Amino acid sequence: MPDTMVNQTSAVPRARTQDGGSANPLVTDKGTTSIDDVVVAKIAGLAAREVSGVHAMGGGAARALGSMRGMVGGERSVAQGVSVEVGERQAAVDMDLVAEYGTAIPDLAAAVRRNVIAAVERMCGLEVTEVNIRVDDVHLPGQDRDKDREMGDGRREVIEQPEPRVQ
Amino acid sequence: MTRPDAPACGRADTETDAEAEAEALAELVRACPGVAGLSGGPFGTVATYLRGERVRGVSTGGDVVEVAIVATLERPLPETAEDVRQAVWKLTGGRPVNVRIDDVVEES
Repeated sequence: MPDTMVNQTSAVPRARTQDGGSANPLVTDKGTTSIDDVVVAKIAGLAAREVSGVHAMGGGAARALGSMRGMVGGERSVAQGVSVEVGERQAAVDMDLVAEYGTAIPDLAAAVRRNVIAAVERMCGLEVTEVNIRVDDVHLPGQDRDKDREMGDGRREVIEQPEPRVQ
Repeated sequence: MTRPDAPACGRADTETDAEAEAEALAELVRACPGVAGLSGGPFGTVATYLRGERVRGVSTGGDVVEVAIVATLERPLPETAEDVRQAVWKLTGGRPVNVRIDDVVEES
């Protein structure tokens, strides 16, 4: 597992050094464009859900709260389970998700990462420095109601992150 | 947005100008493709304060014009922001236009 993680993260474009300033579509001489965190989180959440094999988003507490909100008629947030840091040119994404049982989790994570990076870079014009995915649970086929018990082996992928991640 | 009943006296005139400007800007921004609406920004602070009302999402007070929008996901956000900037450019008198995208809505 550790060496696959290295391969996946190296596929993420690294921070370009200062030379790329003029290429940034968000800062122009006629004014700047700022994109709020919640915007990036929603786009990342939607992109992750598009990948087949992603059952749900969010850690245990977020899912419990989300299903409760669903019961009282509230709307589930597409940004559930996603947290982002957004800078002027770059963004970093952390997400919790539940995988379907029977998916190869490293492949699933790689697909999610690819889709999230593509969506955020295309839609927001922000360079994505990293996408940290935490697979919080696996969803078993017979488990039609989403209990928040630990059912699977709860495999996790967490990448240790250095302190300042966005510029 | 013309106001035929604009009073001629000095102070009211500038006030009416500001009002017309803010409302015209808001109208132009709403008409841009990819814009779902105007947003008040954090705590509703992006607004132009006028007599008796407040134009949310457009702040024309200072050296910089600030526009806060809710975007749709049908096109890339930098393109939407650029369109907004182009649309209001003529009315801002060369001031920079900062566009904030505060939220997005999904097209169903």
